[in-house]
Amino acid sequence: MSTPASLDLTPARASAPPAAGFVAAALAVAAVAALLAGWMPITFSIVTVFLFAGPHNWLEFRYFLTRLPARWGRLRGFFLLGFAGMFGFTAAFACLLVLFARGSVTGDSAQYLSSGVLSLLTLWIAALVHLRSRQNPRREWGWFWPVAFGLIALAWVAPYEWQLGLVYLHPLMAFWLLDRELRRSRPQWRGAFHGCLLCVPLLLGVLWWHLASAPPLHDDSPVAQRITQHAGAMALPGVSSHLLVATHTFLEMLHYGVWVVAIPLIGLRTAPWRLQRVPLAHRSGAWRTGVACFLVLGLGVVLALWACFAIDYPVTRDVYFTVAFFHVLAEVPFLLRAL
Amino acid sequence: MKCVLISSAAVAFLLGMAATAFGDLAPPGGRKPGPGLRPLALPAFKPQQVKFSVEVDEKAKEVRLLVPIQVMAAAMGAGPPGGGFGPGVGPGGPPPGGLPPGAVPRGPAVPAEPKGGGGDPAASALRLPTIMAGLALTAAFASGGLWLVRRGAGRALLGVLVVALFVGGAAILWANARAPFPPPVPPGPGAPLPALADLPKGTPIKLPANVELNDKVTIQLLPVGDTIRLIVPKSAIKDADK
Repeated sequence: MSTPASLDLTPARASAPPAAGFVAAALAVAAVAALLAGWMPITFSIVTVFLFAGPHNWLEFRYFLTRLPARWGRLRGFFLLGFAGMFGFTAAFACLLVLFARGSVTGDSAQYLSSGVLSLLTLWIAALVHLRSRQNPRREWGWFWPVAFGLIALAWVAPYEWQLGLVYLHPLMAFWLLDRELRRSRPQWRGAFHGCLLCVPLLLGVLWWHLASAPPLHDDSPVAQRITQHAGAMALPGVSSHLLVATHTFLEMLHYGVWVVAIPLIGLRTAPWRLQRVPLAHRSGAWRTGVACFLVLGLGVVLALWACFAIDYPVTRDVYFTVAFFHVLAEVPFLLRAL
Repeated sequence: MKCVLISSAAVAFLLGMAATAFGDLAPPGGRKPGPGLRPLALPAFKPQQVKFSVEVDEKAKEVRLLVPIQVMAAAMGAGPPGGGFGPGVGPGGPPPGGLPPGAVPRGPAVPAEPKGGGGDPAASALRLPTIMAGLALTAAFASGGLWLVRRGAGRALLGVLVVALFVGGAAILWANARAPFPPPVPPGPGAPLPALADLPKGTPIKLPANVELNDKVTIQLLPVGDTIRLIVPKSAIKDADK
């Protein structure tokens, strides 16, 4: 039996606190992250992933539950395509990983397969953009198709560089979502937030200036090798691996900071375990129980992830990043929904 | 004023992006460019001294030569054309938050020569990535044009796009002049190759720690480190038990 949804979605603008605390906290986190990322990039990367990887995924899931409508209505096609892409591409990239690791697909075939999947991924995003632009109020997003086809061309010419770009740009998507949340609930903070955003290229510039001629990282443990490889050291051999890992770890820490602290405070506006603002939980008692069970299950996964990290960090890290691609994909439809 | 500034910046950017071509020029070494000769050759490999160590690994089952990628980059002066080392380097992977590690193998940014070494430029140009990239760019131009028509673009934007079309389809040609290739690097005084060439084929060379190698060594590029390491199994050490 369904119950009518009676959500209070009115933006809490009247009693918003001043932005000084928000700005101070954001700048402090960014400065400390840049310092630690430049000073001890491998250690900082290991610690941040251990601490925040699981919780940030859980909080992201919780945020998406808040933004997922109880009944999709005219958004049905948009969300169906979105969820199909999330599951489909996560499975596809995991399969590619297994095939490449086993050596079943090598050489040009591997290259073509990767480029093909990246092309489909781009088309999926373009289709979501198109569907979203057709919803009221209609948006003039026709420019995205030529951009998407340009990205597909790039995926065939330089697939590794394509995905490396995604890797470095993905942390910035959280800033975009946070900006939309600020616009919704704390519009008076947006100016200060944009000012904070200007500090990101400034801190990156300081990192690059300081580490441009830094010697390569000497830690040749398996974890350090994976982290360095992940940061693109194989693709950019002329760039200091210290600089690459520091840059990526810095951006990733900001990404975690947004998801673990900023969006729960600004976007959720309630404790994560309270379900009052979860539209799906208002459909019926069964849905409420289901949502609660999913959240508890997610917490269990976070705890299990911590335990596995403590037991075997390198293997857990590899498995985590294979599965965690799902959350990268999930951000696409929800970001489009927020625009 | 703002429109003029934006248009000027866009035109300057587009002019800066124009492609460069070299025509009728003597390539390094004085050879005439023949059909299929690609100007994007491998960069000169500068002789350099690096740290080298031989390590015994009781768990190793084969002899492995580990070469840090930074050593390769330093030897080449910079990254190779396109920023890659070509096929076979090994799988790469993205960092946290990107694609799963290794989901996209490291490959050549510049399409490689066709197998067999025929050097046929037509065959090289018709590889699948080239075809797909061409089709995608065609679709990009077509959809972009349709969007512009439907949107009713302003004069300034149209002007920039027309200039972009001309510049994108044009190239700066360096012809009948010495190409600005770097001079060839002379071999260093300690270059080992001439000395090795004097040895009779099959002459064993004693390595440190009495290591004896067979004719197969696995080469692996490492993303970290500055030392070339030779990992040998215990069985490869002569008189290991003494």
